[in-house]
Amino acid sequence: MLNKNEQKLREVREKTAEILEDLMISQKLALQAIEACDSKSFEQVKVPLKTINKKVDDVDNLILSIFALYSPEARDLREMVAFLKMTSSLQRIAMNEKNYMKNMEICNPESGEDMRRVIKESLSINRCTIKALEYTVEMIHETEDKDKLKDLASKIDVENSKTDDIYSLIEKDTLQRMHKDHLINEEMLNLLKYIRKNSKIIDRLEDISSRLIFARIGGKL
Amino acid sequence: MAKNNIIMDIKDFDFTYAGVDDPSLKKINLPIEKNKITAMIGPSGCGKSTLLRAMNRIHDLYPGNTYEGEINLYGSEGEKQNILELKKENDFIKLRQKVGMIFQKPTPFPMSIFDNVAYGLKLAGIKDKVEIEERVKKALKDAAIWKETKDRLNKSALGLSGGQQQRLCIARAVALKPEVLLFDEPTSALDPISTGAIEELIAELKKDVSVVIVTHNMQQASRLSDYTAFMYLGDLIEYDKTENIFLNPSEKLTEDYITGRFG
Repeated sequence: MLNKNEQKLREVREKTAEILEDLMISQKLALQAIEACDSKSFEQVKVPLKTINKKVDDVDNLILSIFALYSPEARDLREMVAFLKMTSSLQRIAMNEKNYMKNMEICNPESGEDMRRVIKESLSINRCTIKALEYTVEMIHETEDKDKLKDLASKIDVENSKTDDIYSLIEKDTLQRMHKDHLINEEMLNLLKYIRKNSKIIDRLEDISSRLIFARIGGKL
Repeated sequence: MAKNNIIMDIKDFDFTYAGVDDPSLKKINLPIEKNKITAMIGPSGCGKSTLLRAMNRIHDLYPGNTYEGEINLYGSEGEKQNILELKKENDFIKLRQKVGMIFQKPTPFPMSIFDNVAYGLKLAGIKDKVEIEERVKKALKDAAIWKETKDRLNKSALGLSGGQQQRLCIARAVALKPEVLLFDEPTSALDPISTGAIEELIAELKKDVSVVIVTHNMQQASRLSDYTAFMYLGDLIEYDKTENIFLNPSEKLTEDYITGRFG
């Protein structure tokens, strides 16, 4: 294979990792902003997300030109198809993060104690997401070691299971409290919805990890 | 005056073979960029090899062909020379030193590996043995064949494999420090491994020379070249950056050809 081709493949990997890193920065900022319940910090969370669409388009166009110019085969073909599918997941993650942050503006020093408690408990989901993002970036850079790839993919699975469990606990607790008080708190139900949407990010990361396994190890999409 | 990045400029060029009424090439306009690889693609008989051969006047080995228009070769100071105005045999030899050609079938001379490369240098008037030795060595290194030949420089070049012979021919051309190298389907007679080696070599060579390559292999044109010209029935249909030709061609004819709908 020509170096030119390999350089382009490397460029795709690097640009994709860069998008994931932007998403990770945004998640970390979100965690800090919500922990502090500081509405001013919420604005900063959106900054890394602003260029995601353009970066995703760049990766898509790069892959398109690789198909047109280098006719990738076998492992290279799998990798390019996988990355092409991954970019739409990345775009959706960015959208999820944007919506999540928009809705989490309900968190402020004036919010009720219950609300603040649920939000605080839900931050474990954000921490799991950050870990899963770190593992995904590691998977992008790991092109050879199949065992390490499988290990990283299973770590992402674990983080996903953890978020499911955390959400179930929060939901159960919240509903029990409502039942006890004989009161339906619309705001609280909405909050659960936003938290659930945030936990979807990790589902998409699981999709990305399975695409990377397909790219590097093979099998079916 | 050409822009600094142009090494050759073909303007309104017509070419007619001896004894034929109609021109085989009609009003061709094509710039050749410096230190870039330009690929010429098109179905058999479209005139791509004819155009390539006109670029170092190799057609003049046979009498009676007629040229019209201009093929300008630009020097390092930007001075231009219309190569179609050359008439003397000596001028043709000088031109072919500046614009070398590699053919489809490797054409080593029936002499030693060393002499194959040194031959052109001697013809160019270089007499100093030390200089010849150094330039032969450098040319073989530049053509990525030094390691395989350094211990058998005095052995016949005919004992080399097809791929090695082709790289030797490239070394022979490179030794003369040409400005442009013309490749006429240089890998069509080679296996995939030798093809890969030649392609890598061509990609390396463009640091020092401008390359024009005629190929029937579309993948070779797409992965190797910076610019691509598509020709059909003696016309230049489209010329653009390779990425545009293979991703967004402007002409339907180009698209039909590269997608295999004809040709």
